[in-house]
Amino acid sequence: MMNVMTEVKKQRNFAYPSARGYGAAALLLTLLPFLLQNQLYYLDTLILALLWASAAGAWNLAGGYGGLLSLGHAAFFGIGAYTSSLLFVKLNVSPWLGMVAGAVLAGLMGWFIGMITLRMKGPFFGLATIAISEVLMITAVNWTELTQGSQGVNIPYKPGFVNMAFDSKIPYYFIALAICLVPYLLARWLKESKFGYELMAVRDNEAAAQALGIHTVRVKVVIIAVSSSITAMAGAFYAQYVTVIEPYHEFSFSVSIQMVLMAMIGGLGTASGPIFGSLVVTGLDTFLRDVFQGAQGGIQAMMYGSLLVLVVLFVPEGLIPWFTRRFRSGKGEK
Amino acid sequence: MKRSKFVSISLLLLIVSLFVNACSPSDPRADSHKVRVGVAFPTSGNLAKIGQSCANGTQIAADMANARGKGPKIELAKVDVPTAVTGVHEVNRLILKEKLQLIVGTYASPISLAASGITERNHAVLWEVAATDPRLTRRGLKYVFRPNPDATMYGPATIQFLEEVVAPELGLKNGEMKMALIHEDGDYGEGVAASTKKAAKKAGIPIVEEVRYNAKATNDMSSAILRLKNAKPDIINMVQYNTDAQLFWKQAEQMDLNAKVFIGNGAGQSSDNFGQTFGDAANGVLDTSSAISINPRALSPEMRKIEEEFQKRYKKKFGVEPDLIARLAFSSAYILFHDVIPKAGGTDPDQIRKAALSLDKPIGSTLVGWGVKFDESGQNTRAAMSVMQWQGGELAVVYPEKFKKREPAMIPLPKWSERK
Amino acid sequence: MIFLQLLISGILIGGVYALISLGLTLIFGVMRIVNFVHGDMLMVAMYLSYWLFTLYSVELYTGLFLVIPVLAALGALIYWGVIRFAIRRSHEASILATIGISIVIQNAALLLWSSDYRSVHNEWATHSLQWGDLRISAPLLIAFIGALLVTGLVFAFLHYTYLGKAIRAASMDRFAAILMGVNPQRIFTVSFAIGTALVGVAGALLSSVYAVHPTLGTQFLLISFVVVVLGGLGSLRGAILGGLLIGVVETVSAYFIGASMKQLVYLLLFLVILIVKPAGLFGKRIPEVNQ
Repeated sequence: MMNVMTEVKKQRNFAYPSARGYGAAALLLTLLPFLLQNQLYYLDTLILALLWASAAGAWNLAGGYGGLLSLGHAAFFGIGAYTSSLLFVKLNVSPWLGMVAGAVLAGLMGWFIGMITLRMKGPFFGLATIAISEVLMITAVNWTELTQGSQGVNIPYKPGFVNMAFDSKIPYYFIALAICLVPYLLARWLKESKFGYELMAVRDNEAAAQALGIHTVRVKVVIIAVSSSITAMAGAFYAQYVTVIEPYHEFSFSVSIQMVLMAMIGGLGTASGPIFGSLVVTGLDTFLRDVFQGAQGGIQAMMYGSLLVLVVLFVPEGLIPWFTRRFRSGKGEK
Repeated sequence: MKRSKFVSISLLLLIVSLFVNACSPSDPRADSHKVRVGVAFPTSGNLAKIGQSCANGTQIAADMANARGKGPKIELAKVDVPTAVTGVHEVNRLILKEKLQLIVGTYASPISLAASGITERNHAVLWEVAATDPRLTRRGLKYVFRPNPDATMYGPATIQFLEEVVAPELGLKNGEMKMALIHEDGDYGEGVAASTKKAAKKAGIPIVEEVRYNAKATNDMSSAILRLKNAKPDIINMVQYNTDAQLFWKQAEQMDLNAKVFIGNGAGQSSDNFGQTFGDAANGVLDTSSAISINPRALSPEMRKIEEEFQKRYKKKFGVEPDLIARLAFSSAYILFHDVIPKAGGTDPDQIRKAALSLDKPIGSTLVGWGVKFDESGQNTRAAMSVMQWQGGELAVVYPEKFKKREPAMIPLPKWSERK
Repeated sequence: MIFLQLLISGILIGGVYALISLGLTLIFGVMRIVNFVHGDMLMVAMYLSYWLFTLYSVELYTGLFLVIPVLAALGALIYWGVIRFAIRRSHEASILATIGISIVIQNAALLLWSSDYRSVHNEWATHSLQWGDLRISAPLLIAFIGALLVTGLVFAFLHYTYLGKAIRAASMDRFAAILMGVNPQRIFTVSFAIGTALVGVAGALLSSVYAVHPTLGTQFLLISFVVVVLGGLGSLRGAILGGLLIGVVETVSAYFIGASMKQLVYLLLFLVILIVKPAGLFGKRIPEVNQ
C-alpha cells in the first residue's frame, strides 16, 4: 500500500494540473482541429494518435494499474470492430449502437477471460491472451457466414451522423478524443477511489491484498472487463475510420503489441502515459515516414524498434514518470 | 517614357505567351512540365517481396514514359504501406500533404479497399495494378481503375484451359476430370478458389476435395497432401503464396503426391523464387495468371521494343530479372504514365477518368498481352489471363493459342518416381 | 495406414517444434523472460546456412558447426547489450526489449538480404524414405535425430558440469543460487548464448525444409511458446514431448478438421493446460510464476 501512496504523490505534477491548466487544455483540444483544418494530414495523424491512445489507455487500466500484462488485447479491438461493422453492414444498425454492443460483448468476453485466467501470473497470463486473440482470429477467418472470412468487411461510405461517417475529419477527431478521454478519466478516478487502491494493492502484492480483505478476484475481473469494453470502442471507431477490417490485421499480435508499447513508452500505470506514448510513437512514425519516404521499406521500422530498446535501456519507467521526476528534481535544486 | 515602353513590352510578351499557350495544347509540356504521382506498395512486412517488385516495375514504367517524353515528366513519391491502416495514413499524407491527385498501388486487397475509400473521398485517383478483390471496382467508386484482372477471372481461364487443352490430351470428358483445390485462406486464396469452383460447376468438372490452410501459420503440409492423395484427383489446383507454395511442392515430392495436372494461380508458382528453388523439379507445373512473357509475335511491334527496353532497364537498375509481378505492375503503370497522363494533360482526376475511359486498345497492345478498355466501374474488360508452364527452368506461356511461346508439355505430368 | 502416416508426419514436424523450443525453454526457464527474439534467431541462422551454402558451397550439415558459434556469440551479445539491463527491471521491460530487438533484426534482414524467399535445394531437400506406402521426409528425419542428439548433449551438460548445475540451480531458485555463490550474470549470459545456439542448430537443419525470409520467425514463435508452456518451463524432456504432442495434434486435426482450423485445436489445448495445470505437463511448480 505504501508503494501506491508514494506513486500517487510522485505523479501529482502531471496527473493533477490546476484548474487553469484544465481550461487551457480543453480550449486547445477544442481549437486544435480547426487550426489544423488546412493541414489535414496532421489532423489525420492526430486522429490516429488519439485512436491508439484510447486503445493503449484501455490496455493500461488492466496492464498498468492491474498488473495484468495482456498481450492479446487485439481480441477486444477486433470484437469491437467486427460487432459494429457487421451490425451496420448486415442489419443497418447505427455504428453508435454497434459501438455500445461491441463494448458490451467485449466486456462479457473480458469477464470470461478474467475468470479463466485467474490463476495465471506474469508471462503465462500474457501467453494465454495471445492464444485467445489467435483463437478469435481463426474463428473470424473460418466463420465465413458471419464474418465474410478473410475477405474482411468493407464498410460502405454513407456520410451522416447516424452512420458515423463524415466528409470532414473534424467529427472523427472529436469522437476519437471522446473515446480517448474515457480511459484517461477512469485512470484518474482509479488514483483516488477505493477500487483503484484495491486494484493497485492487488497488483503490488496479491497475497497481502487478500489478507487485507480485498476481494482480489472481483477486482481483477472487473478491471479486465472494463479495459476490454473500452478497447472494443476504439476498435469500432477504427472500423468506421478506416472502413475496411480484416481478421488477419484486426486480431493480430502487432495490434496487441502496439497498445502495450505505447502505454509502456508513456509510462505504465499513469493516466496520461498512454496518450503521451501514442503521440510520441505516432508522431515519430509519421516523421520517419516523411524523412525516409521512397527509401526501401524497413528503415523506419528499424528506427522504431531501436527506439523501443533505447526506452528500455534509458527510460525504463516510461516518459511521463521520467519527466515528472526531472521536473521535480529541477525544482528541488532551485 | 522608358517606363511605359517596358510595361507595354511586358504586356505584349504576356499576351504572346498566353496566346502560344492557348494555341498549343498539343504540347502539354509547355504548361505542365512535371507531375507527381504517389506510389504505395507494401515494401516491408510479410508482403515485402511482392510489394518491392511492384514498386520496381512502376519505377521503370515512369522512367520509360519520361524517356519517351510524350507528356509531362513524371515524378514518383513512394511510400511503404504494409497494412490497411498504414495505407489509409500514407494515402492521406500523399493526398493531403503532398497534394497528389493520383496514387498507384497497392497490391494487397485490404490495403486497396481501404486506400480507395480515402482517394474517392478526397477526389483523387487510385490506379490499382495488382489487387484482385472484385469488390474494389464494384462499389460504385468513380476514381478507381484496375487494368489487371480481378479474382473472378482466374477460374474461367483455368477451366477453359482444362476443357480445351487438358481434356483432349488426357482423353477425358469434363465430368471425368476430378479436380481438387488447395488454397490459402486469405482474401486472395478464397476469392480465386470461389471463382474456380463456380466455373468448374458450370463446366461440369467435379471438385473432389478442397483444402484450405493459413499461409502464415502453416509449417507442415503433410495432412493437406494426404487429403489430396486420398481424393485421387486428376487435377490439383493451387492458390498459394511464396513460402507455402515452396513447402507444398517439397512435401509433394517427399510424400509422392501425383496428379496428371498441377495448376497454380499467380503468386506462388509464378514467382521467380519457385524456379530458383526447384530447378528441374518445377518443370511441368502450370500457372494461370496474367502472362509473364508472351510470344513476341502476339505483341505489336512497338510493344516488342518496349519489352526489350523494360528487360534491359530493369536488369540495369535493380540487378535482377523482372519477375511476373514486376511486369504486371510495369504494364499497368505504363498504361497510366504513357497513355493516360499525356492525354489528360496532368493528374486532374476528372481528366484522368475521361482519358482512361476513352482508351480503346486491342488485345496484345500491352506488355502482358491484354488490351485496354475500361468499363464505367474502372475495371479493364480486356484484361486477359493466360496459362503458363515451367519448362526447362523457365516460365513460358502455353495458352491461349495466340500468346503461346511454347507448346504445353508434360500433360499428364509424370509421377515423381518416373521423373529424372 | 492414413493414421500411421499422420502419426509419422506429426512426429516429424513435432521434432521440428521441439528442436526450436529447446533453446526457448532454457532461456524461459532460467530467466523467466518471454523471448520474442527467438524466432528471429532461427531466421538469422537459416540465412547464415543459406549463404554458407550458396556463396561458399558449405554443406548444411557441415555449416552447422559454423552457425552454432556465431549464434551463440550473437545471443551473448544481445543479452549483454540489452536484456541484461531489462531483466533487472520487470518482465514488462524485458518483453518490450525483446520485441524491440525482434523488430530491428527483422527489418535489418529485410534491408540486408531483401524480401526474397531463399531456400537450400540440396539432394536431401525433397528426399524421403519409403516403407510401403509410408513416406518419411529425409530432412525432417535428420532434424528429428538432431533434436534428440542436441537434447542429450544439453542434458548431459546441465547435469554433469559445474556450469550446467549452476544453470539448473538458478532456474530452480535464483535467490538461493546467488546465496550459494553462483554469479547470476554469468549464468544468464551463458544460458542465453546456449539457448540461441540451440535455435542455430534448428536453423541449419531446417534451411532445406523452409524457404527463409525476414519474417519467418513469427510463424514459429507462438507455437514454440505453446510447446514450452505445455512441456513445463525449463524442462528439456518437456520440450521434446510437448513438441511431439503438438506436432501430432496439429497433423491429425489438420487432416480431420481442416488445415485452416488446426491452430484452433492446439491453442485451445494450450489454454486448457494453462488453466488446469499452469506448470505444464512435465514441469515442476515454479514459485515466482505459478501460484
